[in-house]
Amino acid sequence: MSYPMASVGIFSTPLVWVLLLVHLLIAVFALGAVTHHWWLLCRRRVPRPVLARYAKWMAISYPLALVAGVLIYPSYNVLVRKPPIGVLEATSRWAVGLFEIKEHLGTLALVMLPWLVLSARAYDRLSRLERINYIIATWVFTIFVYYAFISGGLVTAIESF
Amino acid sequence: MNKSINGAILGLILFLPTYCLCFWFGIMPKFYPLLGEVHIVEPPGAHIAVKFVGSALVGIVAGIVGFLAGRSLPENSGKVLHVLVWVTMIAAGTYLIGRETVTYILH
Repeated sequence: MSYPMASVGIFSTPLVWVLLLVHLLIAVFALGAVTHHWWLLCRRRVPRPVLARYAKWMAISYPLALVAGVLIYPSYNVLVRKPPIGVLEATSRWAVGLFEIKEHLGTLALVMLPWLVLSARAYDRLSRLERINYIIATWVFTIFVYYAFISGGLVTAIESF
Repeated sequence: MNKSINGAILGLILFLPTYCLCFWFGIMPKFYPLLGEVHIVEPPGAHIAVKFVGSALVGIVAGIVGFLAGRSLPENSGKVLHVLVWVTMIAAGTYLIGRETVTYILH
């Protein structure tokens, strides 16, 4: 039994390269929107239209980054992670664990998104409880997205070098 | 309390246990790979299991049902939802992170 691609890594084909690059670019854009949204909430006086604008960009870019990630996932699973071709499970099992956690947190962040967008749009009319929860949810969401970005980059770096 | 926000929160509350249960019971639909190079791989097969996508899709269906149900709830139920969402998030997060930590990082 032969495995023609037994020695290749994540950058085995130009298509995977392109998809990974697209995933990275959209993720950077999403990270920018998420950071701006978080930073606006950290300030005392929040202009609602600006908050809603960044929430909108977050709502557009984050799902797009996730979709790009889903497109690469089969290649990651077969070529990078699982034997007989992938080696990550054998060589850096902890990195697989970090990546699995990233997938979970990324999915949770996606489902938190409607809550954040609706809260940003109605920020002036939020009750005290809604506003406090919105701020906490924004912190949690931002941490999830940063974790996903860093751990994704880490796995790519491990596999590349 | 905003009814749409209540809907979004109830959607999240219903999504979380559904997603976790899909992992617990191993609901992993098989998708044909979207990238051409995978077809030459014999094991693990011409198609691979994508558990995240499958579990997330099932969870999102539950989330949409929750969103619609949450919008029709009375506004004062929002207080309960705002507390319940964090209880559910902590429980689900502990399960999911713990599961991967035990399986991959500590093992």
